Amino acid sequence: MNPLSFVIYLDGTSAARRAVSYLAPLAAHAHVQITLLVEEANADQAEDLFQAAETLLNAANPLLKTANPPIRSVRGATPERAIVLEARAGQPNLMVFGPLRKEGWQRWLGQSAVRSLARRLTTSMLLMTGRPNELRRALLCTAGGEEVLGDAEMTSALLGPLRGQATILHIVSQMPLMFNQDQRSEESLIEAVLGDQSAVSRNIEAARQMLVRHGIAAKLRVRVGLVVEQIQEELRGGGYDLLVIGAHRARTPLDRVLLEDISAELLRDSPIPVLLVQNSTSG
Amino acid sequence: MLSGSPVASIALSFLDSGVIDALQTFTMITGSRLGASFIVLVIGFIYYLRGRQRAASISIGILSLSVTATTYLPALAIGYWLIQGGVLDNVRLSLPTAVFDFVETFFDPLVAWVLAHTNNLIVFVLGVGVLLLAFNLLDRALPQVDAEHNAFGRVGGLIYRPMAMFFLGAFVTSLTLSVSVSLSILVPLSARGFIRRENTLPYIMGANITTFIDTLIASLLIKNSAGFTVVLAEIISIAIVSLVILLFFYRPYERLILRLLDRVVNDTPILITFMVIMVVTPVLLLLVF
Repeated sequence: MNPLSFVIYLDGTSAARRAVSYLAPLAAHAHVQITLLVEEANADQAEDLFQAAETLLNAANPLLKTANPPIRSVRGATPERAIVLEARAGQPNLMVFGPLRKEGWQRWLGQSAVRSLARRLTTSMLLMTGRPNELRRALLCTAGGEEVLGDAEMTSALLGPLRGQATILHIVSQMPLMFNQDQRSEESLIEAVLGDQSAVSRNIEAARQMLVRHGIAAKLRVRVGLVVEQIQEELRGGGYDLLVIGAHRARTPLDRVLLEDISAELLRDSPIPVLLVQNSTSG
Repeated sequence: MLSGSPVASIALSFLDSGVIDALQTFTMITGSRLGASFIVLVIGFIYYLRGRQRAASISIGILSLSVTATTYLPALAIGYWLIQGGVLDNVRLSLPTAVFDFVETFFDPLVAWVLAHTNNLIVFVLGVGVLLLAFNLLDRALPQVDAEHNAFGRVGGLIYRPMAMFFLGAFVTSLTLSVSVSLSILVPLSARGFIRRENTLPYIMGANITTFIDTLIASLLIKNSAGFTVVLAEIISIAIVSLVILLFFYRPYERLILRLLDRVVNDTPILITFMVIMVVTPVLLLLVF
């Protein structure tokens, strides 16, 4: 398996502790390297935070201490700065952190540190929200573009060692010519999406096969309607532990002005952890 | 007439002739826009009866009519206040006198000759015919947009910000001067699944504002300041309602309109009821008022 490195930001919150427990099963695998990160402002509590996290990791993996101990890192004056600096220095595959708030006057403007990090980070990030049981079932949402392959690759890296399950969700707008009342069954929709040999169907099928190759049971779901609404409905009923989405695809400043940022809405409102995948084509 | 612009122009002529007052002109122009949106639906319904898939044929028409009705009807209140309150009375715009000189030199003798040799009814019918011909020629003169093979094609897989689509709809319609033409650019894209429904609502809202450009010019040509005031009130009132919806209520509004569309398109009795209401309501209003 390809090496997988991720950084877990510790700030003493329950979200940080849940992040450690959530990813602990992965730590047992030799190809996985974990870094525990604390910001400089919490340097006096760093030792306690590191030890608490390592205790959780060791409880899940008794061999961790000798096999692949986590790396400790203290840097950055603020949570956001610490995460950005660590991402630049270590070039990990994944940055993991809980909900963060802007400090000072920016907090009163309602600016989100998470949204800011989503724009600034060039590495994928995992936002630890909600109270997931364990990392087993992922919902991978895709518009059918090539970036779904990057999403599938990251999902495979996390779920593959755990033999998890993944559902690829594609949401169709109601407008297509073929769309009629008698064609709204899920089987018909899946057949319509996969059967037309378009780039969308090829990309989705390629993503599904990538997941299967990594030992993940993968299936496809097709829904019809507004994107965010349908994703939220699927999350409510599906029993998922992880939501996988691609980062906002704003390639140019004009794209940032014109394109709706669906990922920001999902990061804000998701009831489960969100894996935001930065692909090479993301903005 | 299959278009709102000739009716709006006729309304301005009636205003200029003293047949109707400013408020009646305002409501007549509003009615012309609703009628024009209804025609998009009727044409789609005809396509459906001729065997085309219902969703694609009718969806754009229902969307257009729903968005138009939910913005124009609330705008009536704002427009009423603007006109009755004289808020825009001091706002004036005029065309260069050379334009009027050309009109008077070329058209006045022609109209005078027709009046002298026929009657008012025939002059009216001929006038309407000329209007329709002029708009038809304008439609033919505009470049045809191959929507699938240019920048519009990129719209399909993406979700655009509502304000971006609003301004796009306003811009495209400022060139085409017709909401139905602007929407016709979207129809092939939407029918083939290249454009998401979410993108069409704000596009229609923007289109419904700049479609008045030709009516605004017509109001300047009749040299009646009240006509200009009416059209300006129409534009401002609709713009206010549209922007309020886009800035404060867009998500609930979007869900409401799309759910209505879903119910109407997928249920034949509801579709028929919807069509009947759209036809019967204006007839009833004419008979009652």
